[in-house]
Amino acid sequence: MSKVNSIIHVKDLWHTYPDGTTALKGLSLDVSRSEFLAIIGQNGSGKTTLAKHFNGLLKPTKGIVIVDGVDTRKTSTSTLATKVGYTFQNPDHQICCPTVEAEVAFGPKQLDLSEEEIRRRVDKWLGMLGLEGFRDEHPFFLNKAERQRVTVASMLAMEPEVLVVDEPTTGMDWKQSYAALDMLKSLNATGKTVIIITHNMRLVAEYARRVIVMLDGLVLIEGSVEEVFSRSDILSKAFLRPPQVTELAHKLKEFGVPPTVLNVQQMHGILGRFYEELS
Amino acid sequence: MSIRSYLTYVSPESIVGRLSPPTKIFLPVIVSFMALVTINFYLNLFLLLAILVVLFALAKPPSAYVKLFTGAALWMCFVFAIFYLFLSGYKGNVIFQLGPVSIVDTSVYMVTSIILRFLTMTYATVLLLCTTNQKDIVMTVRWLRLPYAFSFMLALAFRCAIMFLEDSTKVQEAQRGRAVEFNKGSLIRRLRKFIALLVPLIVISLKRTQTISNAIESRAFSFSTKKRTFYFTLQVKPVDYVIIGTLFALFALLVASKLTLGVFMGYPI
Amino acid sequence: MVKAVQVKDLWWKYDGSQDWNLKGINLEVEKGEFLAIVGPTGAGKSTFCMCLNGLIPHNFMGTMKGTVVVSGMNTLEKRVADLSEKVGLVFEDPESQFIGMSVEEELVFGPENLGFSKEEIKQRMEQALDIVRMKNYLNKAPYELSGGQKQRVAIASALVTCPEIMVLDEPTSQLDPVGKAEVFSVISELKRNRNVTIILVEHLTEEIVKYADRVILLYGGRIELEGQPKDFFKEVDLLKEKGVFPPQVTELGYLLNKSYGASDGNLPLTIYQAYEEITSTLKKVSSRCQK
Repeated sequence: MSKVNSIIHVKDLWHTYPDGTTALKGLSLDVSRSEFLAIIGQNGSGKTTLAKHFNGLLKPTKGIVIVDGVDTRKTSTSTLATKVGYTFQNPDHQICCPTVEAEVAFGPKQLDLSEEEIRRRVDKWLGMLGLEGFRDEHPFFLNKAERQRVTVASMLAMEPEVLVVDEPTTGMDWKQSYAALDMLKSLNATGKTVIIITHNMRLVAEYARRVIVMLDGLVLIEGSVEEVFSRSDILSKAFLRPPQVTELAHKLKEFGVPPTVLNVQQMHGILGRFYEELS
Repeated sequence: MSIRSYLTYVSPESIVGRLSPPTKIFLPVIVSFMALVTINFYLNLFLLLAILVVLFALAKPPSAYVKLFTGAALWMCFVFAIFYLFLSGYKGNVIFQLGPVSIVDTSVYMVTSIILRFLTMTYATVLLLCTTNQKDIVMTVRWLRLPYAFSFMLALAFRCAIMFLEDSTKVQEAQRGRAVEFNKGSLIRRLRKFIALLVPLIVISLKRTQTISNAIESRAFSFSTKKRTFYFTLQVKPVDYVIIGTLFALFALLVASKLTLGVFMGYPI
Repeated sequence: MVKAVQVKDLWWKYDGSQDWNLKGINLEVEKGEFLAIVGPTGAGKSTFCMCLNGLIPHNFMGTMKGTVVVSGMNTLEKRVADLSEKVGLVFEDPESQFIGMSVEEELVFGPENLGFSKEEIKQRMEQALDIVRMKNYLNKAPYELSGGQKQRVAIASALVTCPEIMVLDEPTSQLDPVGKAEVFSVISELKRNRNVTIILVEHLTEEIVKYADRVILLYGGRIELEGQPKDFFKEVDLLKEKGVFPPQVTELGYLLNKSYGASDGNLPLTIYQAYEEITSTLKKVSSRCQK
């Protein structure tokens, strides 16, 4: 992958925490502009540690991380916040303002933008995330999925190129989870690079285009979703299983079903061709 | 070392560490009180030396604790020195003069006493931190036959404090990700940023209160329970009673001497 | 025979809520039954769970109508402390429900409150740890444990009072795949070897089908669908509309059946069943082709 195209370039990244644990052990990867990437792996594999390097919350112990052309070791977190927006798993860790409007304006205010610019951004992102109706509401009275949208909106108001979303669907039901991912998909369609960190293999299969599997501080395998999910032997090393329908596809290999099936619709289409003969 | 480790770490294999919890707690606490009520130079020195001997010879403190506390304490001593020597306005015999600045003997006496007492309490704290953990404190409160509610609330407070600390790290990271720089800007701006730290923490703590309340009630907890079992018993040996008894006796003796005699080896107690 | 749980026309409204949160729930659960509850967020599942051990109505302000009888005890008449001996409740967040400073403290807390003798506590504690497979973890502090381990301790601390009913409210939703697997293996152990009634709230329908004797759909405070897994999950369209996603293989079976009429009426619930059904159909096709 050409370095020119990558919006995030990581080379030989090591990270050791003050208490001595080494979470990242010489990792290298590239993230291209506008891609939809999923980072998966067990807790303790280093996924969150890696992601926190993207916006400078953590600095490399060894190695380099270049984000949109700047070296994270030499750049402040507040500058990197305009390039990489990071939303955390629990929106309550971030919400600190009495109205949704104020919450979304919070980030831009830290950047010392003009009143006009702040207003423009707030209006834009409230609109894009369907939060216009909640403008004057107190964020605490919204449900978790709505609070999640508020934190994403407030992160987007910084207008970063890259969105890193850590466990966007924990604690949500399926409908809310799909809605959250649909929102990320539409943001990706506008050109933003989206990186999700998640355990939900089904959603990864249906939304991500590239996947990085982490194990013990290193990249175990990376590639397109189809490639990675067809390698259930490697996934099981990271204690991961592909979605049920993909596992079924592996089993039906002998009948010519490709192992790259990612969702129910695809499988329906493939089996349909065989079933047509039946009816 | 993280704050959590201060609450939970116990130096392994130290003589003091093997005493029962009440002794480990009363020893530094009573010595600190003794230091607090005494201004006699000789007694102050004796207490400091005593606590240093117990700490370094019998308790094996981690060097990280010692460095941190010594560093902070020396700074404070410096501040005390400046204040008491030059700014306190004590009257007495002048022993040093440089132009308009003079130092009287009373100030020297006071600051020495204060520094010795402060260092005694500092090292007593190090002793307490490296020989006890939260459980010791909770068990001692129970051993003192205080109402169950006290020890329970204390234990819960420790647990919540740790959760609170973990949350505060997460909140800081979340806000830093929105370009909040906590250590930059005017005082007013910093205050506002601090609010951005405080509000989420308060909200999370409040939400957690409901969850914790549900959890403890679901395990049959009730303040009005009559017959509660205490599974953990404290091993308090005769030597512990001897040590605690001696400490209390010495403290009583000290207070009595202070009230009656007033002076020891030429200096007021 | 006395049912484990009898809920008659249960209505509940939190103070400050616009609408009733539970609307006329009628449910009976047999002893030893494994009941799964599914439904979207806000359907009232957690509220319902808290009605089963008396937290509602005793710990919350609100209005209750109807009755809930668990293990022969009416939740309106008994204190939560008494109900908790017979009904164990495990919550979603592994962090906030761990209130002790060590695993051992966590486990003895419940029995201590109930006044069990020390010997009894020790024995039950060992049994509970055995079930959750955490025998050597007595002295571990919560921050030394993973989410899955903390949840297993939570299950053990509910088991230690030998409850007749175990209620688990989304126990795996905050856990990673390893943690989820650990908790499900404990649930499987509970089902297999212990004579305890289990009520599990879960979104992972692919796991539910492995254990549940019966499934109910809670939506907007009402039970909208009820049945054995093989009948319950046939209603693919209804379930998806209500925010519940059946196992992917079931949905696949449903679509294939709709398009090609390929099945005998039962939809596959597991990969194995799907594999069997599809291979037999494909073999039929290929044998037909050969003719």
